Amino acid sequence: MNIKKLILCCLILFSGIEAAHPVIFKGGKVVWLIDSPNVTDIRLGKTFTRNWYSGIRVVDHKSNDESFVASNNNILIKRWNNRHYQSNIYGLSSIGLNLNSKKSMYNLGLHADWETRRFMVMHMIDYASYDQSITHTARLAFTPKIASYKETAVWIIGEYSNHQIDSNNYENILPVIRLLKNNYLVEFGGNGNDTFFTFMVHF
Amino acid sequence: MNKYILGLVMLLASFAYGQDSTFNIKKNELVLEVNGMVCAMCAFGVQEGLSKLSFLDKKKFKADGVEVDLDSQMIYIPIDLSKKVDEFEAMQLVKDAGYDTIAIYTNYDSKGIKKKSVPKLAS
Repeated sequence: MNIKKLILCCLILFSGIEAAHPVIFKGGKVVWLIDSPNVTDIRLGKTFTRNWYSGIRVVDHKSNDESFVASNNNILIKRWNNRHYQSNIYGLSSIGLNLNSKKSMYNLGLHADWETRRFMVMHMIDYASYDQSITHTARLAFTPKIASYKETAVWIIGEYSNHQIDSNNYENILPVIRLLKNNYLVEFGGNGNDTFFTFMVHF
Repeated sequence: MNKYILGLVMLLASFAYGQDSTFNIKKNELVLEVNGMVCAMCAFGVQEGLSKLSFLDKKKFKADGVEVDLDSQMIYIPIDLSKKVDEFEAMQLVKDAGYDTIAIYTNYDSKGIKKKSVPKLAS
């Protein structure tokens, strides 16, 4: 695998792209699967208080036979609820181990979003210790039809990511389709170089 | 002339207010108006939380427990009047799900729709 492809893989792997809110409702549990030709990422977790999520994450890097296990802890720093929008700032962290090299690694991040029933804007910045990189991820999304609570919602998302490692920048733009129904979320993303599939359920 | 314009604005405002206050609250229902409920997957947390309410009438909406209306940002909670009704408990569960209750409406025993003041919750 060439270095560019590896880094693009790592963008999906370690930037911890948050398909939904990093902290959900008190007592809520989440199962989350992200799969791509190169990476399988499985997360299980629980929101223990309305401000704190904790979980585990197992990542299998198929193309170079490396696996990681990590503990995730996310906190809701601030939320603004308004009649027509919600806006949030989250702190993200994970600490884990490369199961092959036994080396430890950690991530620290900030995630901010603003959403209405029609539009969503998200920006995340993330530092990864394993390669001392900084990743910016931004998402702009809209839904052509505002769905009611029981209907399936379809969102069209444009995702931009920028991975800064040493003095190099690696950029990626990914169109994504998101389907939401009740407590289920499915996403498909692809741009010719990368593809991924996400499945998430809250319960 | 300004008086006419002012009168027209007040008339239109009264229509708008009237529309808000005429939403349908059925007998034995507690209705919470919440802020920030913009996404169905997130609102699922409210439904899950409120389905644990001690005074919920579980027969009305069956497995759903409560009815969520994202358009009006209202949550319709059927209540079992044989149990002690504590609106504060419902508000706390809404807060735990990440939202803020801004208005409480009740219609207990068909005594008519009442709008209640929202007590302040501990942060």
